[in-house]
Amino acid sequence: MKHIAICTPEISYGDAVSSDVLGMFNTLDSQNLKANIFAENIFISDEIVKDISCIGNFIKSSEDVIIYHHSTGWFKGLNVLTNINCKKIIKYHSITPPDYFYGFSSDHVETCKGGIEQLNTIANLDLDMYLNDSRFNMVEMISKGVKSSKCHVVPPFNNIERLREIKPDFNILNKYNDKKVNILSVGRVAPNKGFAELIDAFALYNNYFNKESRLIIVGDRHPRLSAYICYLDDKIRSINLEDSVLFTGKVNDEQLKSYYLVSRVFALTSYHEGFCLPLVEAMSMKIPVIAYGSAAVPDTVGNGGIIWEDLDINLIAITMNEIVINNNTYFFLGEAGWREYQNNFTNKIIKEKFLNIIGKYL
Amino acid sequence: MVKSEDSKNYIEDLKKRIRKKVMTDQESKNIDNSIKRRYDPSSIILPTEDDFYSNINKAEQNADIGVTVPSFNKLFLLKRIIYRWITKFLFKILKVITINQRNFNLSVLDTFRSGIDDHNNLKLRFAETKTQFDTRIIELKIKQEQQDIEISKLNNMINYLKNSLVQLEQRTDNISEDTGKGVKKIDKRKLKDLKDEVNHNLDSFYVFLEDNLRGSSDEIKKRLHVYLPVIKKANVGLKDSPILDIGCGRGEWLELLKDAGLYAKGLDFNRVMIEICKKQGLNAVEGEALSFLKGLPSSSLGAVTGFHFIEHYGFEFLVELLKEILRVLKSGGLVILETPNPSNILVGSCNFYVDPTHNKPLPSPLIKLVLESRGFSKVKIMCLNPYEDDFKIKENGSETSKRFNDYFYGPQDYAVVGYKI
Repeated sequence: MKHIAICTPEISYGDAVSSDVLGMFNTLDSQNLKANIFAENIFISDEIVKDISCIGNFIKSSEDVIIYHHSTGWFKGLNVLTNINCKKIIKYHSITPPDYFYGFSSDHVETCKGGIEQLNTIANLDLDMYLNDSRFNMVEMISKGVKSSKCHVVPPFNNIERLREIKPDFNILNKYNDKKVNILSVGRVAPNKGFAELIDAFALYNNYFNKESRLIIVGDRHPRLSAYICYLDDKIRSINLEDSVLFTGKVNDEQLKSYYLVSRVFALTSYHEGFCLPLVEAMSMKIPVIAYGSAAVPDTVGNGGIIWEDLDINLIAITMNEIVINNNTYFFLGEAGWREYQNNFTNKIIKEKFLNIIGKYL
Repeated sequence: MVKSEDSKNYIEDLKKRIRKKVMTDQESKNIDNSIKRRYDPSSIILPTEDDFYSNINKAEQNADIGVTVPSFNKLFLLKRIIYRWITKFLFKILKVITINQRNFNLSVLDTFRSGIDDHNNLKLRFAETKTQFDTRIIELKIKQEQQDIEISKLNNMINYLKNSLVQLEQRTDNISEDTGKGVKKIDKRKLKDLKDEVNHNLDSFYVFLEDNLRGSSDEIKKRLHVYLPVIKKANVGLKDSPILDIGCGRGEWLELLKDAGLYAKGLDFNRVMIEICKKQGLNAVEGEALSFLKGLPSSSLGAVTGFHFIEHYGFEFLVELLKEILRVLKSGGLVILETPNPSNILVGSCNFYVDPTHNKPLPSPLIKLVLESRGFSKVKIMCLNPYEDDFKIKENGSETSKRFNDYFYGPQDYAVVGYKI
């Protein structure tokens, strides 16, 4: 029987890449295939995960398969990928261009640069297949010189079914399910996420349409990006919105579900997204989506929400107001998002697509 | 059900309406122009240096009037001579009239040219300064990191002193109270209290050791994360299957469990540790493990955990402890015990003895066997916390170096996990 190794730099519960890795594993396992996960930083205890240095004991035949997840610079992984003799499949999750981090975090600049350099190397290796989270990522891969016949789009597996099943955090529900209208955005607080523009758009909405509103930003506030975080905090202070903008920091699934449940609108003004799982989460929870159509965002949202081709804070503010005051728009967009999720992003659909595409190597 | 085509059309209509609102509606007119703006970084194209120079060269060609007289080649000879003569004459007049303008044009161009040169010089100087600045920032960062380490050490020392002071104050209060009551002879109860008190003499010191040797609370929490899936999989930590953490220390595990919405209680003999837990709002009590467990009803807990606890005691104690743990666990409940891994040579020969309260190293096969013999099932060993790669020697495919790395830099801890059927 062929062995399939799924390789990723880090595995834990909760982050998007790990969910994709575990989804792939479960899919292969359900087909009675011999699969294992190999990682360098392991934060889960399951026996299916082994240290990357042990991969030589598992991949022994040239017909065995490696599915290599590229989401950041990973020297150890790249070394394995280059030297091992077997079928090699890449799953590309996008690398954020370093430009967004200049002036905020030199660490991030270097990490992103490393990721892009390794992407060029991976593209030049001319491997057997290149899977991409989105059409945008696939175009990037082709632009690096990979043959288009080797490139495919497979959305990442996700945890949304679990998110929909678990109980919410009732403390959050009680606290924020008040008379205020909640506008939600989800994503780690980083310069590529364009939160400054989102705050400006919300300031307009709050100032001209609805004083009784609140912007909730759910996502990790990492100390390494403190320069950016301070910049946002100063901005919020300067426009007197301290009481109306809430940064929750990192939250667990139950808390995340609660923030979705108390929100009327999901807004995203990110400059760069390789897929953006929170958009799909919002659509699956029937929350109307407004987004700036950068990078892969239009691919992900499809016809499930409002995409603005330019980042105009007036458009975003007025769209927020339209969704809040017009129930027809609110329900229609909620349904449209739900349909988009049902048609493209349930794990069942992703599983079929994944098996269909990599089938010839199994 | 909304069809895809419907939503596409609906969304397009909606977008048109909103754009119209932004452009013409009263609502958008109300919006303060000072914050009304469009933002599209990709649309801004800055001219390059070459663009500047070629534009100036072009302008220079047109700056002077009548430098070349048209040849009028298409005209007949006489006509051409007349035209050229008239043109020359007109140019002479124009030159007189526009002399100031031409001088102005040329001086403006000169100014531009020198402006661009200055700009380039400034750019170079700026780049140099930026490099110096970046280097300085890196130096400062390194210095700050060093200072942070020093400050953290000092903070640990201050905490140690504070804790010792609080303990001393409590004792002084007790003595004053006794003196006030005029204690004449020490009864048995008093004697036991005094003995207990002696056992707590080093409480603050152990906290100090933990702060300095075991690692920061954040590091410990990161390491303990690995157990959360095990707990979740066993479906314990609910109201009717709470978790007891023996030797809970500073409460890192209790905090993780609390954040995960699980019910847990901590137990520690060290009063200062208990105070630390309580300050964080964690459920922790002071007590000795064996007698505490003996006081619990059978089948009342979902899990019992102990991190770096069992190596502090002798073998008989461990056997007795496991017997009690098995008794108090519910069916399907589990025990997790983490301890230093003596099969790592550095740990077994040296690091284990850094803590003076450690008893004997406990090899994992022995502990696994003890759990199995005490009635636990599905007993497994989790190897944890290997050294960072930076410590390891380069393997280069050699078996010797691989073994060396395994023995010296392999997992520093292990955990034994066993279930009650």
